[in-house]
Amino acid sequence: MIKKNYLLITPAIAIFIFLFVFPFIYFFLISLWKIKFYKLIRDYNLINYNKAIFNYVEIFFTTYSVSIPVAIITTIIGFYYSYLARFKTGRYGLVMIFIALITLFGGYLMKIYAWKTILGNEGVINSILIYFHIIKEPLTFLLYTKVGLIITFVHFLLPFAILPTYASLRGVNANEIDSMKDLGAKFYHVQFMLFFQRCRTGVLASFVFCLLLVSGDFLTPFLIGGKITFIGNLIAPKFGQVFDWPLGSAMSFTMLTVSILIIVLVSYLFKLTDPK
Amino acid sequence: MNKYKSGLKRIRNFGLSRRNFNKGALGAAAITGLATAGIPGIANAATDVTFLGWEGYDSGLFVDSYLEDNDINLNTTYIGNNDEIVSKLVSGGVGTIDIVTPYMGYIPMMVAADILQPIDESKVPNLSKIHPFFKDDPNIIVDGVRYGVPFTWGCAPMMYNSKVITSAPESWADLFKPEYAGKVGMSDDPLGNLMLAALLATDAEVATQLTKKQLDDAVKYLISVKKIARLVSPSWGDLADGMSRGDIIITFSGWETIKKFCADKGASHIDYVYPKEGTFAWLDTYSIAKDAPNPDIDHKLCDMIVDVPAQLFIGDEFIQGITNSDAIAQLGISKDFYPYDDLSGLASKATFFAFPPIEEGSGKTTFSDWLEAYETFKAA
Repeated sequence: MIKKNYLLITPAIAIFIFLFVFPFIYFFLISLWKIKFYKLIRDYNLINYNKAIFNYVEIFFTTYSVSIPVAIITTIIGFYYSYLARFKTGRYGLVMIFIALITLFGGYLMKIYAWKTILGNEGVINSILIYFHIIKEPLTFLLYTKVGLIITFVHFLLPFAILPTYASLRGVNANEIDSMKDLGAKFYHVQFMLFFQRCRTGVLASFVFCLLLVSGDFLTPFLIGGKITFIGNLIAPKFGQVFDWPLGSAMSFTMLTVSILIIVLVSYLFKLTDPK
Repeated sequence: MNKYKSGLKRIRNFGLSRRNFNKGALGAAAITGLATAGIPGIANAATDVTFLGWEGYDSGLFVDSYLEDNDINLNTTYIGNNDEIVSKLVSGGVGTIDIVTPYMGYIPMMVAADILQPIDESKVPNLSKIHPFFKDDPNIIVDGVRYGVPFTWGCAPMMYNSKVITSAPESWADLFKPEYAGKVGMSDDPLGNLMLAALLATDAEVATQLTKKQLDDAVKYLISVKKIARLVSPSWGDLADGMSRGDIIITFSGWETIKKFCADKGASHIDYVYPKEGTFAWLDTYSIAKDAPNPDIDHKLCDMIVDVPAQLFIGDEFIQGITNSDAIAQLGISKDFYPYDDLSGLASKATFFAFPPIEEGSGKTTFSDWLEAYETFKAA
């Protein structure tokens, strides 16, 4: 029986190894090499990591100054959306989840350009506010700013935050919540317990999805960020325009390490909420 | 002009099962065998020609039916910047790619990297019609050998919104007027931005031959522009979007064709001007990659792109600068967009600069130094 199970998961393991583990090792090795006149030189050193860590501190800061708030906001909104779908909307809960998922069919670029149209000087928001004489000049902080980036990212990532939290909430019985309330728990007690303890795995999964997707993104800052540069905007050209794969790989691994550290820290903070 | 019409093959999936395939294959083999018996050449497959260049640069090849008549599939890959041509060729593209369209400044570097092959001028008769101002640019001819056929060009003027800025700006310094703060746009173009910044903020005789200090000064200047900018645009299309929507009203660097992009979006009030300090110009070429699979066809395409029909198409449909003198004489709407009447005088408004040095040793900063310095601007 055990042997049969191994056979069944072999294709999945093979795909994982070929499409994830091997490229991962390959790019890690490359990150230790160097480049000379568009050619890779197998000269193992840590120069690229030195550059990646010390030359791009400001860019890393900018990247995480957007990705962390986006991950937090999206996870919280996603959690409450899932909560409504699971406990408050009865049989319409699944319709809510379907609506959230259907937004994924829209395509990433289309959403970015839609937000450009909505947030621009002559966009929907500014046009309405000007039409009703609420403002005289367009609100310029909406587009080509961190605000615009956060709005766009939250909209795009919401389904990715809803799915894991909803899956976690499916494991919570409504009777548990009723019991808590019977014992005197207030609304915020229930929410605290669900968010930090009962659905921790789903909430952390949402946070991780959002953090990693935003930290590694380069298209949204390119199109919505105006003059804001993310680390992804400097990594992408390393694999094309600049042709410096070693430095690009080192920057990617540095970004991955920073993201993992943040995730470990957040997991630790969640653990602190465990009852003593 | 759609691609099917232009000779590209459409592939349909009829949902073949293995059984149907076997049946179909046998039948097709029988029919093909009967039909082609004694007719040499009829069963030949279409020739694949690979094109790597800017979007639209292939369009002139579809003006006549050459590709269709000769059963040539033009496989196009569009680039986002010139460096992609170099990186794709050095990372396995040599031997598979036919035509590339580098900016003339890149050609000496690409020849040094051994990724281009010489152009046989006898196979490109239309070269003789190219205006002398473009034909023999020193970057295109390396050690007396031609490596590119110049087919389009342009400059980097200042774009402005004539509804808001009613009298045309005269100087690049106008960008820093307090009323334009937060309304300036610029393109994310390392080479172009640094060339223009070097022209404006350094005492370098040639904007691509910079000492370390001059490069630092150019980057400082760019950072000062970024401070007043609202948008550092990833593409000309996005810059045109920003201008059309009124998000930005004036630009550092630009392109004559942006005026058409904006007009197409209903913003015909976007105009351009060559400021008094001057700017840089660019010249793009059709070049043949080293070990290109179809050198004869590639030479034919190089010739076609500078022939009158293709040039008129590029000029009037895309509002791009063209190089064929006969075509220039016949240009329609686009003639007013470029200083064709005084091409020789263009040098006073815009300069074709050679590429920065590619190897150390000349005492000047290399292109790698430029890209590294440009990251300081990106991080600012």
